[in-house]
Amino acid sequence: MFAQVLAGLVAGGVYAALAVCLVLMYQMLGVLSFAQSGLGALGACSMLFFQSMGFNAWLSVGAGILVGALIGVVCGWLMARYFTEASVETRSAATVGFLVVSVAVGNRILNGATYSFPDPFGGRSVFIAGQGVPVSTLVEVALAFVLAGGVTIGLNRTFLGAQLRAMSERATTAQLLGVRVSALTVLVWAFACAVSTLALVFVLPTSTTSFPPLAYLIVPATAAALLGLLQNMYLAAAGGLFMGVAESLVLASRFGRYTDAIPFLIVVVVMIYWRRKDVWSEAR
Amino acid sequence: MSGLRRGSFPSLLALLVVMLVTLAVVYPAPKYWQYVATIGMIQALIGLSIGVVYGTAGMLSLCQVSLAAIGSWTVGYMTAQDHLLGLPWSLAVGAVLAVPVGLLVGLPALRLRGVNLAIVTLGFAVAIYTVGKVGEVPGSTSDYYIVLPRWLNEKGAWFLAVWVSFLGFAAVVILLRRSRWGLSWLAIARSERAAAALGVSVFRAKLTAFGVSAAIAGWAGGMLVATFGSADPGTFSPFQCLSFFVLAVMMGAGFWEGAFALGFFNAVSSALLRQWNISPDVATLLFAIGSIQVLSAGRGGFSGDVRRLIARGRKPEEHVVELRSRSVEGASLTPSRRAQSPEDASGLQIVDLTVRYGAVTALDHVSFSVPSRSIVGLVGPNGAGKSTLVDACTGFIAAYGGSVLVDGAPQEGIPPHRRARVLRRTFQSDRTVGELSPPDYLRISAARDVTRAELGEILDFVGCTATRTRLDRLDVRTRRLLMIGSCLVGRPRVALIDEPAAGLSADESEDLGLRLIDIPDRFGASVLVIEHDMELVRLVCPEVAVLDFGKLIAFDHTADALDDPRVQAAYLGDELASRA
Repeated sequence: MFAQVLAGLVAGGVYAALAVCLVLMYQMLGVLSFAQSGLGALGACSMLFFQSMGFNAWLSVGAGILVGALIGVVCGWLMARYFTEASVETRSAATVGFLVVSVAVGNRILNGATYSFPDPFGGRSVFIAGQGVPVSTLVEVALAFVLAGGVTIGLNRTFLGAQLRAMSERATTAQLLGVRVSALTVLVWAFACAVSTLALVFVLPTSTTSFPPLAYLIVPATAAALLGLLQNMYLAAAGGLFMGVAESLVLASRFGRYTDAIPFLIVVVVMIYWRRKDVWSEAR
Repeated sequence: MSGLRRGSFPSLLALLVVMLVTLAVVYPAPKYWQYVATIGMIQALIGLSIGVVYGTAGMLSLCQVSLAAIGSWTVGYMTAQDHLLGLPWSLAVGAVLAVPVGLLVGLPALRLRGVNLAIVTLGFAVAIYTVGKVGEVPGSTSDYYIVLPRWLNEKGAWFLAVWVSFLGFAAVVILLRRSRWGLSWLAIARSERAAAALGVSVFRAKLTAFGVSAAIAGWAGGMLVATFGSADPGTFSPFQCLSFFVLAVMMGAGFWEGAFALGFFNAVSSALLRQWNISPDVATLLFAIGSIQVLSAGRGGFSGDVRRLIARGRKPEEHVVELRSRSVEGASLTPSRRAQSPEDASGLQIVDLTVRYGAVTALDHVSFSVPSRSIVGLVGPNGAGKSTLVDACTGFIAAYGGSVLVDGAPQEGIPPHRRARVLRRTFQSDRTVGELSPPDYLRISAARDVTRAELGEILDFVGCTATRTRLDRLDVRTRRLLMIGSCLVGRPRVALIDEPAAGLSADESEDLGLRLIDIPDRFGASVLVIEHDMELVRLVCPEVAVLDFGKLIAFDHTADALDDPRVQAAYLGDELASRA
């Protein structure tokens, strides 16, 4: 069982990091980005190109993150340019478009062949209670919580954080106060895509070489974000680990083949409980 | 299917013409292009399904293709594996079986909306895909092959069957859009509260939308598997769900022509790209970019463009606004106060109404009554509890103390859409359904069959001469008056009219007042007018109730109440009131 818990942390770490990004974007930009894993995976796949140019693993990862950030800049610019006044639903529906674009592009990059992705940790493991745990997993889990803590502190204690919070409350008013809403939107998208890329870098060496499963990581990641009620980043990170471990345990059970359906069940239960009093669509 | 309305004819005719042209082009075409058209037409059916649930009812469901899987598994199991039923019957069973699954997905939609619903439905899509891949559900494996019956295997016969299916389902959707079901879908997409206030059951509207869309998707899924020969889980993958969603957005699948365009462009572009040895991904990519563009422009996609083009060709309907004026009609119109004996319980009675939000008491034991066929004003500064009172009376706040009685009957425990049979309200902000024409808006508000004469009477009362123009193209005043008309067409015993003059000029406000005065005699309703415009209150209401911080501080003749020092202090503050 301990082995399964540890195995679950590999995926759980990715879900956690993605979930923190989702909460950040939902809170600051009023968008639930369905594209986050797909865009992050695109950034991570770009590492193949840098690797083929002779970059070492760390440089490839760094360059991949830069590409991820650039993808975020493009998406953020589109959102800031065309969707500032749109509703949360419309913005989020647009990210479904981004997701489809990312899968279409990703399918062309990973067209079924087997690739060897750069692994900055060289597959090293440490032993905990007699079980080998890949270093990348520990780093991934740490990343999720450092991210949750860093972002929470950054939002509450810095001037940039105050500007972001002002923007999230009422973008137009913040703009009138001199907050550069478009620039901040682009910044948040770039940051979230860079972090998503970093999160996916850790799973790629052990993961499939087909693109859609990487894009669908958004489903468990959203489930994790929901466990944080799309508000609390620590809970979202913990929710990600929980999802990963739950999947791992189910995988080892006789229902193992239905593992991918787990997020749906968790999502339904959490959502309905959370929104049980939302009888009407709008406040008044 | 009761309540089908006129007005569907132009759409039905256009559908028939487009379908006949399609038949004339595709039927004699080579087998390959007939196959492409068959796939396109089935995809158009899935587009119709998305059009019902998202395009019409406004629910962000990302799992419509997964519902098609249910039809596919049913047809696979019944036709190929055990030969339980012939193909046409198994298609019907597949459509029927998809309905309970659709309703199951629809249940969360009773509490979840927008992105939350999108998350749940995407999760459902992944779950169905997982179940399909495992292959334990009958019909979900791909180890069978469906052979079409001989009569469907003749040249062009299967295309003809698919053609008839799309024609049939599209016609049903066109007729449904004009029925009470369809109008209620449009109404909940605009505002669930406003829909319930019109007597629409939001519960029923959402579930019927999911049910109808699931039946269409189930039928389409069955046809798809019969066309391909066996089930491939990839056909119903989450990615397909998302691709179809973006296509539906881009094409505006809420209308039949959008769904048709979805199938046409998807199938033809895929076929052409395949012929040119280009990956079909390119088409998906372009469609996704197109959908982002459509969303950013908020235009309603291909079908929206088509309808705008047609509308541009039409001569705009003449809409004459004639404002009534007191100087013309005389002062005799001022309503008289109706005396009510203590034992007379007709009209609206509010007894000890108390609403608490946590530690805040929004309404504190408020009691007053609006006698039968009379008008009472409800005034008070912002935050006094006026709208809370309207929400509680109409059932939008269920947890309140005290009682609300209409003609002596307590309303507690009755949901808003059922209270609307006797007690109706309007809203401060515009909640009309922009896509509808004034008569259609009134029809859905009536919650019963209404005659043209009745509709004419209401339109005449609110001074609206437009009958074809969409509500979102009419002026604010007309929309506000139509909201009052929508309240009256339900023939309520009591009408609560919330800030009707907001945003109107002084002349328009006076015109509104003169129309409000007519309501009790013309429609037999008692009226509570919530308003800040004191000129309007003095014109319309012989009596007013005044709220301040949730308490009733006065209920008297309008002139006396407004001169009351407590009322002036509530509006102006103690210091200014004493100076006044």
